[in-house]
Amino acid sequence: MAGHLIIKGLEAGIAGKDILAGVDLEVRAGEIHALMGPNGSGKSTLANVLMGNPAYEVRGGEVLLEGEDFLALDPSERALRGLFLAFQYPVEIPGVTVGKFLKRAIELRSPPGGMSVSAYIKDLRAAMDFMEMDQAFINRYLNQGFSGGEKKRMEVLQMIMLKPSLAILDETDSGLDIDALRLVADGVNRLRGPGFGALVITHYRRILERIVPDFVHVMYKGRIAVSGGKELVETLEAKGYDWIRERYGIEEEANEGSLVST
Amino acid sequence: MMGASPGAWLRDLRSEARSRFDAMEWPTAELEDWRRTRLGGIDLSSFVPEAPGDEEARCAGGGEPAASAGFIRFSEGRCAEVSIAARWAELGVCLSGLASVPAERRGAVESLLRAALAGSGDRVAVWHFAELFQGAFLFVPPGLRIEEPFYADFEEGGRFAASQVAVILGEGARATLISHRSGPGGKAILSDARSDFLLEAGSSLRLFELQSLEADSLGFHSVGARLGEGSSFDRLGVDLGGGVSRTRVECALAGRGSDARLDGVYYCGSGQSVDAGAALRHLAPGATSRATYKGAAAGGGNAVFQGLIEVAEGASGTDAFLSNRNLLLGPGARIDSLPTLKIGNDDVRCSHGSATGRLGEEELFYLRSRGFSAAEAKETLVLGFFEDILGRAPDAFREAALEGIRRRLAEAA
Ligand SMILES: Nc1ncnc2c1ncn2[C@@H]1O[C@H](COP(=O)(O)OP(=O)(O)OP(=O)(O)O)[C@@H](O)[C@H]1O
Ligand SMILES: [Mg+2]
Repeated sequence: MAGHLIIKGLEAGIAGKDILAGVDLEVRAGEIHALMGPNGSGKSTLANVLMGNPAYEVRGGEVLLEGEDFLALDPSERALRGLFLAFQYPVEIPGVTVGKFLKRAIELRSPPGGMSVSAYIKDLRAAMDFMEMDQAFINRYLNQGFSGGEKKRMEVLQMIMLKPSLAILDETDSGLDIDALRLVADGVNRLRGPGFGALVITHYRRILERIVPDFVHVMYKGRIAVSGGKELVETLEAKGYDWIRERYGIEEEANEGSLVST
Repeated sequence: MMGASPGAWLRDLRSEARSRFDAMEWPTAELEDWRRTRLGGIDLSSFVPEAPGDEEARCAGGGEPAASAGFIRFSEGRCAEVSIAARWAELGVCLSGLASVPAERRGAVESLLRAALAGSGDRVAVWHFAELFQGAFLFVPPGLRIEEPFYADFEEGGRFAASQVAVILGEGARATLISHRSGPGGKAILSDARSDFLLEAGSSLRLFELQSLEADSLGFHSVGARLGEGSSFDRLGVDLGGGVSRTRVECALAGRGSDARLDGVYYCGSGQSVDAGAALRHLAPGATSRATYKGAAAGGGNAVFQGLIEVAEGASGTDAFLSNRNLLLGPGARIDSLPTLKIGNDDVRCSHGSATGRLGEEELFYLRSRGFSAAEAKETLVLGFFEDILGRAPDAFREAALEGIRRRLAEAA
């Protein structure tokens, strides 16, 4: 099935620093997973490593998409195989208009010569209406001078237009007003189905009330510490991360202890 | 005039230049203005001119492309085609080869070019005049405002080309000129070009000049503009070619309240060197100028931008801004930015800014994450970098410039 992702023992870091310390996670086609966890625990690192950001070094483990070794692929090939990352901090692309950028991104996903420009423009206008974005954005340079919320909407707009089989949304709900939050959730729910899975990285319950996840995971110090169903969100809301810290902290101390003793 | 043959003034100009040329030495790195032009071991005298003579095509109406006011084309130094829309010819607009300038305009074009020769301080600049047989002349009578562009195309050939553009706008006239200078591939040529502009009071010129010589050629280009009271000169120059490319824009804001906008784009491939210079001389009060230059160099490319804002003592109320932004695209790429202000008056607003950087890794990754290959992501960002300048050019010019940059980026990859 399209979008079936398996991550096994993934270890990765940046700038000589170890961050992911053996991540195991499976997202089957069409499933929505939420990924939570304290600041700095490695959620964005995982997202970037999955997308192939060359700034990060993969040190071990494997990632399979539909059984294919995903880590061997260039970021653009990963994108064309159906992975999409909505960035936590989308960058500005000066001199490249939204309209031109998206047209090219869609063209790259179409059979040669098979893209209809008029259909594209129609789809884009409809998607912008759906995201309640002014059509004037089409002629603006991508993300340049966009407000934080507008950048996030632009990420979701791209997701809707590019129709990935698996989307990673890295805190797309942070910094959004209540209307934008609803739009982001509507965007995901609109694509939701057997051909679309998602990994929703978030700190907040409110988005998960609208995008109800099939599974919830908590990342802690570069590992998936706890996994469960949507009721885990309630537990976290009530107990905070201390509860995990206690459980994990104890194991950690034990590990460190054993290291010292050898 | 007075029975002299139509090209006699041009012959006189050449022989005057020839005697100056003979008395001069080739520029070396000791000459301040040539210090950063990387002539290396190039033997300039090996580029032997083959005088094209002064036979040139005569103006024919109706041959100009649609939606243009007129068109002139040079092939291997010879004026091969001239055409001007009948409606403008009837109103006294003149577009012709230099040797065919009508008698009543000869005095004006001669003094424009004599002034340019007088201001030429080195042997390469004087060489242009010593070999000046052919060129494009445009005159727009006072008060005529022409929105459609004029086109001038120079397909350089031979070993040496001395292309010339000369434009005179009468009081309150308005025109647009799009000029393209290209060269043959696989053959080293030296293009020693000039463009001269005289803008009478209240006139306005939009000028787009593209140079896309091949990397084995040498491209020199001097641009001179003299701005009358309240006139406006708006130039966008794109320099893409030449193993050595050197451009000097001299803009004299001689009239009160005149306005100059100089935009420049240069791209420097591996092993190429670009020396781009722009001088804005504020000679009269209340004039404004904006210069924005952007350049990129591939690995092993070497460019320098030298910009000058000079404000004369009497030029109070001057408002001038000069900006230079550069992109280094590979290891060993180098671009030096040298903006200078020389201010002889207190009542001015002058500033400059410059920055040189590399493509952002995050921006590249962003595009790649959307399916762009690494090469296309790079190309997209480089073209995007120039977009604020190229975006205001007419479509055909913009496309030609973008295509030239794309081709050179692909060569570097
Ligand atoms: N370029 C870098 N150099 C050094 N350390 C880095 C770099 N980038 C990220 N890190 C570190 O890696 C760790 C994990 O960062 P990451 O962005 O993955 O966390 P996160 O779980 O997404 O946090 P948040 O919830 O705050 O977004 C952090 O400690 C961070 O400081
Ligand atoms: Mg993060």
